[in-house]
Amino acid sequence: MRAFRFPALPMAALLIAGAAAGQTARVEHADQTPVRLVVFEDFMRPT
Amino acid sequence: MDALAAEYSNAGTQVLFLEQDVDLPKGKRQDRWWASYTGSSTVYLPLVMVDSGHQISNGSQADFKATYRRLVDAELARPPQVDLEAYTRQVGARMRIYARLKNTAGITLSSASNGATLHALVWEDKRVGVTGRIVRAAPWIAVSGEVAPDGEYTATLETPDLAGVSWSSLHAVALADYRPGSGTAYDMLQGALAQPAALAAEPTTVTVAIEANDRGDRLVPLLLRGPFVLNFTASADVPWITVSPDAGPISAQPAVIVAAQRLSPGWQHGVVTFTASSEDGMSLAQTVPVSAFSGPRVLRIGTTATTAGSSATLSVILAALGDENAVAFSVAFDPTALTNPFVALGPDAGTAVLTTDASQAAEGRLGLSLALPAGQALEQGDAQVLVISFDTAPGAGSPAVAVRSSDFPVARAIVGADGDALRATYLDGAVLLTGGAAARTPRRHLAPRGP
Repeated sequence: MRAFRFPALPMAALLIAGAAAGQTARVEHADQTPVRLVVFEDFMRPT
Repeated sequence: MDALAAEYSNAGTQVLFLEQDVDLPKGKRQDRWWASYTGSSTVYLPLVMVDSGHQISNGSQADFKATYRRLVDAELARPPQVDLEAYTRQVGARMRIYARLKNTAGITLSSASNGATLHALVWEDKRVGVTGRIVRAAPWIAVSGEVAPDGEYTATLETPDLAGVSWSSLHAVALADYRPGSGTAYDMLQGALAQPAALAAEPTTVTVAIEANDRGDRLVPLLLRGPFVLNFTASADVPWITVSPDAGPISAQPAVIVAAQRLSPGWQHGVVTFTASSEDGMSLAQTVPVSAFSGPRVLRIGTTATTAGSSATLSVILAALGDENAVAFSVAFDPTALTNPFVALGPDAGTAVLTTDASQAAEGRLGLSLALPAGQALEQGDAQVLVISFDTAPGAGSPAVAVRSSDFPVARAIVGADGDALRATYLDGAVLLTGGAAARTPRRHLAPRGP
């Protein structure tokens, strides 16, 4: 088996960009901003 | 109030509007309003608060909706300060709520130092007072001990016996609050709607494709979800699947492991069954179907026949395992027989971007690369990813002109959606020229390659 090599430019840049962007996408997925659940309470007297 | 609730619900925002009878307060909730109030001793109904008293109002308003919308919108703009999950189930005439809190507030939470408290508001969708949601119970527990930043706190809350309620209309929300300053006012850290107690696994199914020459096991992490009191065990119905760990508390997240060396060629299917139980009587189960494919990943340059002097079109087929994101290789050909190469994406290349390096085309070498958008992969199966066209020389001497895969100017490589280099076999193709000597199919050159 031959060792994996990235191809010569410009394909190398393309493949590396794809791999790097994939990692970025996963980070964005993991970093989804949590949202606050707002609880509005009212205390009334039934009429 | 109902109109406002509908408005926020329709907008997809997370806002709960809950009503209590001011004369029959439940739990510590009305106390929270008074803890925030600093005015005179006379207040007017209704008493209103958002997020445990972070903002309050009382009495009639010139425009109720506008006033309350301002309160809610200001809260929606604030990030939560803890992660909170909650599950609920009926136990006799009571509702039991299981809550797990992870402290992301950046400060230590404790009842002693800042009044940290976990509440559950149990409400019924029923018009008892003014709105359609009346709070039936609000059990609470002081956060005992200290919950350090990034620490976890778990608690089980339970209502008193709930009589005269429609259980199908009952819901619960867990919420955590604390005193952020030196005063008496509280602020809510986060709330979470309680889900019916159940065991769930994410992803719900596992599908892996393993290259036939790849002998490494494939590990797929799962996320088990359910009430924090659960302990699980896992079992698989086929010998090529194991789960690690195969038992433990639900917080111990397991992984499905597919043993590559125990797979048969082609597709095979198995099922992992998770069973979970708790000391307080829950018994739950969840199955996760697992499918595995074992086969060669092959990039095959096609063979075509044409009349010498006309154009020839070759397909490039990738027998994909379903995890390929980018493909790069070069083709080598006799430049005296094949000229003017033109490359286009095939019908199965989807949204891939094609890059061609034709700088050595005159010497019979052409570099090709196609890459899908980040994170995407080809579907499992044969994919026609490229189409290569040549002009053929009239009266070419050889009846068969090989079109071989090579490493110049672009080295052969297939990259997975996770960025890893993938193993593959590359098969050569040819252009068969008719109209001269009898054509004969060249012998294919088989070249397994990979990391």
